[in-house]
Amino acid sequence: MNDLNIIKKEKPEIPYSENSNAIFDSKILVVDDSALIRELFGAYLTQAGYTDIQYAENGQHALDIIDENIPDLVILDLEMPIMGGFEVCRILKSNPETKHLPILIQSGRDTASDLTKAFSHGASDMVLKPIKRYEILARVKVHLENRILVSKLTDYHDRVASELEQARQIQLDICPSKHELKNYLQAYGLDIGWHYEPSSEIGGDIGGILPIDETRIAFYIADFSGHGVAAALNTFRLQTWLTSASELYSSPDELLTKLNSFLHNNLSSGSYATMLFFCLDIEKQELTYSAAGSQPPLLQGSDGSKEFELLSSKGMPLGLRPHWDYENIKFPFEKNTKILIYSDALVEVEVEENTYLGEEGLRKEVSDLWHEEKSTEDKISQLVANFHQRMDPDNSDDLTIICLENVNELRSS
Amino acid sequence: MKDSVTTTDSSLTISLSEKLTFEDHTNFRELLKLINNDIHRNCSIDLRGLEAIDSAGLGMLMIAFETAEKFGMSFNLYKPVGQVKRLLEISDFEKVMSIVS
Repeated sequence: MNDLNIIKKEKPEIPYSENSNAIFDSKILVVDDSALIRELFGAYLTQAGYTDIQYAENGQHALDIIDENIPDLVILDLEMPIMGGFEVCRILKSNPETKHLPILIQSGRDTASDLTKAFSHGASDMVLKPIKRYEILARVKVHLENRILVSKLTDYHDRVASELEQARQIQLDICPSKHELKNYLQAYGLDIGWHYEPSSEIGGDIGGILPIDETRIAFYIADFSGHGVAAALNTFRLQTWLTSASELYSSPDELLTKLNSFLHNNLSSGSYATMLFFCLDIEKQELTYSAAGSQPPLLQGSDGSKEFELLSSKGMPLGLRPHWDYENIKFPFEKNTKILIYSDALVEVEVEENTYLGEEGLRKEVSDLWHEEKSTEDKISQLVANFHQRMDPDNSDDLTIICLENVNELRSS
Repeated sequence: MKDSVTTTDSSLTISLSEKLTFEDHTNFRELLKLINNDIHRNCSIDLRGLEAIDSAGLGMLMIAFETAEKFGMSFNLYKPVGQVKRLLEISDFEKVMSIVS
């Protein structure tokens, strides 16, 4: 005890960084069967400024304490009665709640096999007896600072992940639900299949259906340049603009012309959106659309035995030029006619080394697939499965696929 | 992206190769500084060696054109091929700037 009194009178000599004050509130658990060693550690730590120290005299006692309140650091002896240090390590590392808890082993065993065994059981660090004050304080400081930094990073990560998940849900809510798609089948005689998946939590693709009146319905697909949060925020910007432009839904060319001016005024230089905007008149059985550099749509006419054809999607992407006049394209959309629109991710995948699927490859694939006796939903699921097989996970992109078929005889059913 | 620059008294030629993507944003800004002056009357972006371009790359080419336009320089994209050519076509760039095929 006299020795301990001498130690307590000394001033702390371990230099601490400016941000290290928080470490002194950390919980430290000292585990050793020797009361003298426990008191020695306690004296070192208290004198250095640590305020929350607990003690256990064997492994089982330590686990009981940890079970009630997980500490920030465990200083652990190896050879103890009832339960030794290796077993404590093994149990802590196998528990998800304690597997990241730093464990500082203190032992008189210093052979290579002892060191290997300690680290293989999950020890974070090891100090050898006899305990040297400066060494133990330096190592405690390092592990507590790491613990605090990791904890801050984990908190930040969890908060951002939670916010992104909420944003993802909002973005998914923009897509029509299965219930809404069923309503469109009843109201307009349209069998609609829909698939949307962002490459990360949220993405730059957006699509939507905008009913105009009893006989007309508009729909669109758009893809903002870039990925991630910035592109996703622009999709919300687009959706807000579209909500306030309902008088333009029946004039796709005019809509794109005005949307282009809006985006040019609001996007950063060089940013843009590609887009296809359609207006379908069920009574006239006519589809009108305007294009701004999107992927060419695939169309199969009312004779279902023929292959799909690629339609033009040429047009200046929205937001690149201050003023741009877009044009309307019209074609018949009679019973059994189908149109498939999609984002570029679907065709920018390798089918063989250095050979990409491309629009023509997709056209053939869709023509074959749509001959099969499957539902639209199953056919789209097959396209998505093919995409996942081919995509490069390190270079993924947002994916949207929308298919509309005129099945108008179902209107009265 | 890899780039090389050749100049004569009146012309600036920037040759791009490999891929022009979002990651090249900073390097491309440096190239824009070459256009952003009153020294040359003509600017050509040689795309013969460029294998692929993404949406950000397409935006960069438009910024290069607008920068040249601001300084009254003539501007062209020289011989794009493959996916680059297809994306320029689909985006109607030939209605804004000269594309030499």
